[in-house]
Amino acid sequence: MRSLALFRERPRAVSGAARPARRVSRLEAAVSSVAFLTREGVVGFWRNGLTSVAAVSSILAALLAFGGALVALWNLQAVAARVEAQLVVVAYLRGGLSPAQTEGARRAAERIPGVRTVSFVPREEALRRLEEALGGVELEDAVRQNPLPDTLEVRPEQAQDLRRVAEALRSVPGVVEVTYGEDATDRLLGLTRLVRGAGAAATGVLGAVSVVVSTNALRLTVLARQQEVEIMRLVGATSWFVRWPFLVEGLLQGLVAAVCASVLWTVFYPWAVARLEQAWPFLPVLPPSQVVLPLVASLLAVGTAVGLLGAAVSVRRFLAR
Amino acid sequence: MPLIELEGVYKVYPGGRVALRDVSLSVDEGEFVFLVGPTGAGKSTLLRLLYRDELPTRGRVRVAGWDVHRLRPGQVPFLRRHLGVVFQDFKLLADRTVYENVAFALRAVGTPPAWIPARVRAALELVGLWERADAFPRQLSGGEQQRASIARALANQPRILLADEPTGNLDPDTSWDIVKLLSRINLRGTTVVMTTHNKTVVDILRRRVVELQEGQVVRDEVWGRYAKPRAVP
Repeated sequence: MRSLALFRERPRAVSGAARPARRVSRLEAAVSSVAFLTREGVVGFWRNGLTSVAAVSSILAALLAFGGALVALWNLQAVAARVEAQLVVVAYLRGGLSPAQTEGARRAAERIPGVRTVSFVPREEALRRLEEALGGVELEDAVRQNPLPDTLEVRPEQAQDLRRVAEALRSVPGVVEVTYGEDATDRLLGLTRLVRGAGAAATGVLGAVSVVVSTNALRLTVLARQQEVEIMRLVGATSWFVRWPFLVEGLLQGLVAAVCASVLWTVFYPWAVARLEQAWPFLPVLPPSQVVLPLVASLLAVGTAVGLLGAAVSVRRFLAR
Repeated sequence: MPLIELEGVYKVYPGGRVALRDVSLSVDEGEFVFLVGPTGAGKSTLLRLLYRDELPTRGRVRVAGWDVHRLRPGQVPFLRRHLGVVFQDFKLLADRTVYENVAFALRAVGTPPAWIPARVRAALELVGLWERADAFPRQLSGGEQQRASIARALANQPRILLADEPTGNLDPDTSWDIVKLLSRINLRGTTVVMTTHNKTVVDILRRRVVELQEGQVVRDEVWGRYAKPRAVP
């Protein structure tokens, strides 16, 4: 590409001496080499215009899909977490406990490992909730006497601890029965585990796909510079010297693709959320404020990593000989 | 100690084609050697062994004090810094000027940038191409392109210049210019090994001639000709 006059080295008027009087330190030489190679990579990115466009767009496609998997995963995780947060173990207390005994049972429940909160629900409160649940009937009149026991509502830190916490609660003095909706809860937990696993697997697969795609794309870049590699090796460039410009070029391609993917997702996600909320207001989607920043960070990190990795893999074949 | 030494070298390519058969050869510093022989005789293979583009199947190859046949891959670049290599097809980078092509070779071996302009100029003046430093390869004639590639090979001040059919793509006059240039480079102390099919050049220059046939050295003469003189009837 001719427009790169900026980068062109030009013959300069020089004195006859092939070595300058000043000694050049190893560090200075190394720094100048790294600067030169980095520039070679950047120039290569522009010189191989069409190849770069091809590489960037295929990495971009992979990153967009990866971003989609990530967004889906996060939303599913949020839904699962919300569902799990509603899971609670209910411990029924024996009737006629003194306030001190009740307090003792509450303390004991709190000491169970993995328990997040314990709240005491007096029987009056339980009755009020039941009335509410039944649509505001006055049960107190109908039954004359409150048949409900006092209860402890215990929420575990993690949903999978539910069963263990329930077992432990049974041996708390004053507790007569423990229930956590065993069947339903187990099934629900199985479902959330499945959703999380599938989401993570999809994200992993798409991540791997982006590496493969960018390796192929960067192979084009290496092929485009095959002759340069050949000459560098012929005149005695070390492997790192040959590799460096490609790593820079791969990094740049990954980064450019990641920036494009970030911009697209930053625009698309809020738009999609707005449309979804309009159509199904009850659908629990994560607000853009919680998604966009981590998404952009992930895309940039994955994009650059994928670019570097792809370049390293595709240049390796040239250096194998 | 000879600068280049081959001892009992065999080269068998995958597939079984035997390119070199028990080749022993030694070249002293400052020599000019023509490698001649029909196509497929193993001339290019021999050169490739010297810059370790290929490894010998058997035998020993020593170049400039390096045991090339057992060089670790990481050391290969440092061997090559003692060698300049020139090809029939020049192998210039089309998107860089002559100056940049020469500077590229210097850059690739980590030459401090402050040294580069003087080195490039020295190399280009030696081959008589300084005036065309700003030209791109396609703007040059074949002879000029070959001179540019020789300048690139010499920029790093190697002890040995290997030339694989350097005149193969050039007309007779230009070929003669290139060979004169290589001869002048040799007079400055650089050892030159050149493969060629160019009978005229070999016969006029009368330098050492090594002839290969079917992978074997069949002739090694100090002031040789392209072909063995026939017995006078």
